[in-house]
Amino acid sequence: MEALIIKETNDTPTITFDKENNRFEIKGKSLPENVNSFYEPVLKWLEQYFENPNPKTEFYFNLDYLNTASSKSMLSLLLILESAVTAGHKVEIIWQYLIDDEDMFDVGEEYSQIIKVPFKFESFESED
Amino acid sequence: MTVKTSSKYYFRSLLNKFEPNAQLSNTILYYEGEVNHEITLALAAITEKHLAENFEKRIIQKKVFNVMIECLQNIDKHTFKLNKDNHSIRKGAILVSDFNDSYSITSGNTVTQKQMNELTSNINNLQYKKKEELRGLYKVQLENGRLSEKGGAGLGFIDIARKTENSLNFSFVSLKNKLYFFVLKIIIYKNK
Repeated sequence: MEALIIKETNDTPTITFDKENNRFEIKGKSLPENVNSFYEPVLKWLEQYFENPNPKTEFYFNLDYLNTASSKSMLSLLLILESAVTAGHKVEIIWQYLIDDEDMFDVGEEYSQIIKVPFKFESFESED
Repeated sequence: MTVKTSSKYYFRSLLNKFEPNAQLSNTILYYEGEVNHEITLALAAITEKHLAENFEKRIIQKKVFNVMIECLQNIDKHTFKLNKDNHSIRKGAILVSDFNDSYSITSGNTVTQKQMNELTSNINNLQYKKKEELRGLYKVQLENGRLSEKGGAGLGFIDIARKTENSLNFSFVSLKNKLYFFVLKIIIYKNK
């Protein structure tokens, strides 16, 4: 399956979905003008991937900022992960956040309460 | 829906009613005019950069950025279009001020009477709610709310309220032609 790599822009995150190297990450800011057109191919890729996934999928979220319009698309993405878990696949979410960024931690925590997928929280120190 | 209007009003003077202490010395940014996606990104990024250069905490920079994006996207998606020279663009204003202990973000745009009623009830519904209650509302809205065709998710005000500890001040100024100038003022405290 061909990897889905989308480079970061000033309003969309980096997407690295790479089955071969077993690497799944969303990193950066998400506040695109048209949320649906950005996330549609991303969700499609994931749905296809889970038709025949790797033995274990670790999914990294390292989001700097998520606008409210994007938060719905992120939920759709997480629901795909939940369906995969329901179907018996092994999936874990690693939610990474800047150590004092309570807001981004809260976003992850709320998703973890809505979605039935194992969540792990990892904080990191600011680079600046 | 667009109408022609010849009424004269000045965004800055309307905003100033709600931010009377704004002076050039404590103004980080003032903008009025067309609000679109590129302008939204540019204004929020300029403000974030300014705060970074003044060694503001990263978390506060992010809150200011966050609130500006939600306010400007509200204008971009929902403001009433003023039709001038057959060219409809969305217009609004935003003022970001730096006070001793806080940043203040005041945004303004034109709305219809129907929008005024909806905004009033939406925002009033969030006032005096505790963090946990806002979190509950956010989750319900996230799970059940559907993306409107304009792309908003109805989450914007809840998001602002919970990230700024519920200091949503708002008001309307009556304009001509049953239109209103909606002003939203949000305070972000620095010692958070």
